[in-house]
Amino acid sequence: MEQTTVDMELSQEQELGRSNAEPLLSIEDLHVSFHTYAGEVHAVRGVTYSVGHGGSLAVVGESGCGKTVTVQTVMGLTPIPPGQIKGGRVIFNGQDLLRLSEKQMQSIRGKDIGMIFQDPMTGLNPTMTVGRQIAETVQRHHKISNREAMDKAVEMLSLVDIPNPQVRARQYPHQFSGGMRQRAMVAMALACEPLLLIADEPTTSLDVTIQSQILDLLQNLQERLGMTIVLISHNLGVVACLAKDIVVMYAGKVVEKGSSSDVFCNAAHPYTRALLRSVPRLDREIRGELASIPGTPPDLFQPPVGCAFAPRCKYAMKVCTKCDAQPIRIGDNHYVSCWLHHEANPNNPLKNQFENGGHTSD
Amino acid sequence: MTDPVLQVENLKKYFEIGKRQTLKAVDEVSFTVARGEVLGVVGESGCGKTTLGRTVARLYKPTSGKIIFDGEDITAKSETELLGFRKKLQMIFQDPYASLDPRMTAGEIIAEPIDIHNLAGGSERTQRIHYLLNLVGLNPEHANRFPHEFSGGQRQRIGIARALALDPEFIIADEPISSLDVSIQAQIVNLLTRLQEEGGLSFMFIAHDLSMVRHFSHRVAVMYLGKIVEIAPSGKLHASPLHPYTKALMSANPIPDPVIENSRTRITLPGEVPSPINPPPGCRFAERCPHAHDRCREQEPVLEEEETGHWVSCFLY
Repeated sequence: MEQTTVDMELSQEQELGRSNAEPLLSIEDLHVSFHTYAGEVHAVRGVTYSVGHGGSLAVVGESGCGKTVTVQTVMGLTPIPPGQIKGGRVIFNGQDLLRLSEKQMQSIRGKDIGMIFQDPMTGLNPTMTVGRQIAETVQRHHKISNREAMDKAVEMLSLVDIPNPQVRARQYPHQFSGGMRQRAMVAMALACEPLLLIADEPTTSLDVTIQSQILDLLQNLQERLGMTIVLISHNLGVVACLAKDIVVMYAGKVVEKGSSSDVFCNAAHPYTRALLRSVPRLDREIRGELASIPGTPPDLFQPPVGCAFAPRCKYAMKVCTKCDAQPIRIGDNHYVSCWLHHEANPNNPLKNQFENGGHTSD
Repeated sequence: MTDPVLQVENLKKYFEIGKRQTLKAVDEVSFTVARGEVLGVVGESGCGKTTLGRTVARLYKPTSGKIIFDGEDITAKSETELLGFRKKLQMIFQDPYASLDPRMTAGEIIAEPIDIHNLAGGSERTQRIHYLLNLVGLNPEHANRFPHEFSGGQRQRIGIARALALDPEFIIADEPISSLDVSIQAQIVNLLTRLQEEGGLSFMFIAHDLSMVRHFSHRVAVMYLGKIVEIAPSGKLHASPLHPYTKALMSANPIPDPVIENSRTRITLPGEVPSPINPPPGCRFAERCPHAHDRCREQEPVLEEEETGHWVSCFLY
């Protein structure tokens, strides 16, 4: 019914956005640290990535690699102190978010950028009905009556395929199941028709069959509303299914970025390759040992001087421990920060496999 | 099956939750595990897989049914009588943060089962601790450290060392890797595989990650709402799943390959796992099943052998 109006409004907004070729969100050389009793944690150490209008970008990495801190900084949600933004720019829709006041951020947060959190139970207020919470988000940015806001909430709940939205809107989060709560979170994030949706591990706390439902929903919304999505996940399967572009992070830095097929089929960084091979695949018979990565990620209190992955990397060279590699362009939109691919390295052990499509195991 | 180390027959574990309500966590489950075999148990949260593991380990008292371990019926034994059984069957728990006492050092944690069973003392005990730490890929110096000084993967290694301290025949691993990072998961699974192959251990490997279960297990049992709906050799189950739930479960697992992911269609089940409190009659999956017909809602299917070694509980077959 009213769903079509949402669609139309969104597509109009999107066309306006598309007219400029600039990326919608561009993070440039971002540095974020946290001051703790034990010392300064260099959580994000020079992250650069961007996502265009209508694009879908996934940030992959293990816990503690800085993927969440990066987007929290974009949203202005990093607690300061103990956090400190040590440098860099976050350009969203033409303005630098890091220069805005908290008040200005409040008018962007929830309106232009929506966010879905990992844990739907802590993301929702247990003392308010779900409908009221969605309505509150809308009323924060638009001057409309309570009744109109509630109608909007019901409309949003039906958009995310919650059955009986009228009844559900009057219920509290504890009356919702995990999957439903996550849908409600999506509804809330989309209520103000944001230009950008940030989904931080949206399916991690869900069961596989429910994860599949939420993935379908996000895919559907993306296709229907042409929404721009930044997805954060450690699940490579989820990433393969939703994202067109991929950023791989390790120890607070971007180690590889490219299109989804670049990264999955032509992975160039030893970390990306190892990560891809360490997950057994349901569609393939693999016997024997899984390719595991020895050791653990480095301590970010004292980040290593050279490449952070060097101690765990089987291709590590002398230069890797002394100096960190800068991003090297190896394909249309495919960048890797690894000395192996440097033009001064004549015998790149990954090169042959790389040219063979990267599927050969080493 | 030759030489089963564990036989479970019609095992039930009900929890009375007041007002004449019963939560049927495990309902009429039967299976066997052969010596040196790894049985994977998969299912979504609330399907009873953890309760099954804990009941088999006799951490819970079964409501009815039989558990025969090494030819001995342990269903109704008392705690003191179980001491010998506990020596042969050990558990690895899901959360390496919660399952280690923060006030004990790694060495004390690993030695606790040795002390309880009075297996070694003095230098022999120390040697045993160092041997176990080495076995799971830690250093002997780690014995004096406390759990908070270790990373998640290292903690899980301590949990594994503790489980191995008594040289058990059988290990029940309840989601041993689900709280770990991807690159660490592979390390732990490789460690378990090595220990299993070298020590000829039998395993019950409980997990929700199908691909890991496939990798590690010889046979896989799929659970739904307290029942085993399908049980088959690992390769067979993945090549030709029979039960509609198994099919959906496999299809729901996204594959880390954009080419495949963009070309295939996922079977997405409607709704969610219903409550195990007073479940409806008939097949428990009927509500969400794309093939359900009237009979499924009235009668309950039983687990039957469809092909050699491949059991399924569904009226379609």
